[in-house]
Amino acid sequence: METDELFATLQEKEQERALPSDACNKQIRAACTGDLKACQAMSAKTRSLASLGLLLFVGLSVLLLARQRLSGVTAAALWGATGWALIQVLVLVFGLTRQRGSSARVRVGLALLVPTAFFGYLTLIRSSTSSFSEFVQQPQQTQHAMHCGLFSFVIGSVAAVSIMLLWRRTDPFTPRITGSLAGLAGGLAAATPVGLVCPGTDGWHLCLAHGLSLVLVVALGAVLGRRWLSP
Amino acid sequence: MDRRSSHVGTVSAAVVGSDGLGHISHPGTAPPRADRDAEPTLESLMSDYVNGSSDGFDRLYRKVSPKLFGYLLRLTRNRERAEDLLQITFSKIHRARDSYLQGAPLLPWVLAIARRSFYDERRASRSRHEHLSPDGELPEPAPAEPKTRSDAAETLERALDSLPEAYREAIQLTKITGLSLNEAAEVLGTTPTAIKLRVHRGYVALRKSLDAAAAEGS
Repeated sequence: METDELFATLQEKEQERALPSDACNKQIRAACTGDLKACQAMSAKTRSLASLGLLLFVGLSVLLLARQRLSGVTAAALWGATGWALIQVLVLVFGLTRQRGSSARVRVGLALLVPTAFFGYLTLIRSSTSSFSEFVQQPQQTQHAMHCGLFSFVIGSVAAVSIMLLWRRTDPFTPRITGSLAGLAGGLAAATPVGLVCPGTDGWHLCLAHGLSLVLVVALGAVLGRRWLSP
Repeated sequence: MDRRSSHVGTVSAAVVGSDGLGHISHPGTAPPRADRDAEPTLESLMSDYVNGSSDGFDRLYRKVSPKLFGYLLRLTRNRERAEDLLQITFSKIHRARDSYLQGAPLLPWVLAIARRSFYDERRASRSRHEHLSPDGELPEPAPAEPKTRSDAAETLERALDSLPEAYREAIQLTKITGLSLNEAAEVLGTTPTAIKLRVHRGYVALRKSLDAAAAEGS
């Protein structure tokens, strides 16, 4: 007998065998129809628009909070920020809106490549890099880095958590990847405007305060995504 | 006109196989239906369920539960655990029904929820202690199911059970549950190429087991 024929037999046998008991059926029916009401399901488009609005709100709020520093912003920095804002939209589209249409490999690639590219961008825009011991020994610099990093992390986490709440229970397939991409979008929503208004240009400051905070928000997204995005 | 009233409103509880007392009959036990050729899709039944139709749920349950239960039986190899997981899966589906993307393939979505529930339960049970019976002894293992299958199918089943988990799941989803390569890849969180490879390697291993069994028999 060919293996395919055997599988067909197995399929038939399984259909006969795979009937849950009456008690089980009854319990499931009671649980699923006891409080059955029509649900107002939010479409992927609505969730995406709400997420986009949220990211915009977070970014503009940070800029508004630090508006006195905006006068020193150069055109090059503005272009950079615009580029990262566009990448955020890309992350939102591939990470959340088209979570069933995009391959897992592309989405993992985004979650790994975008933070790496962000570190690369920070390395490019730095004006100087002191040695790590010099950087740590200057209390003013370390305090500034702590302040920037903590601010970026907290704002980014709030944005990521809000996005995940908007997309709650929507992804039983790859919730960790989706969570990390929600973290990436939220993290960028904080890191981009903070980077725009922050006067720090030392390599260590940029990497530790701006880059590391983004990576931490992505990691937080991966951890929370497993719990919140899976049904 | 809303989707709920489009076709659910015309279907009586008797037709969908529920006696109104919470008993749901399954294919094979249900009476023959006159409107079988106008059978709604799983996705439209899910849509009815989301819109609050209990008839929609009954019909969906009748269609989905055999496949889902078969999948869980193969994962757990234990009827009681499979029933527990079936209940857990349906309660999760119930809670998450408003986040189901309308029109998207339903079966991969349901199977992915079941699979995740299985792994969660397995992780939790590893940290649990074994229950002792009142006399302090370990409970007796459940009696084996009566063997009613043909020898060849039984040999295949044994060979399938001895495969590595990744190959077994790929074969189960594509050959027994009937998912496409893309759908199986979605459920297992991998690529269709990887599924193809797993199925092929599983096939090779199965062939070897079956040949060995045939040589033993002769």
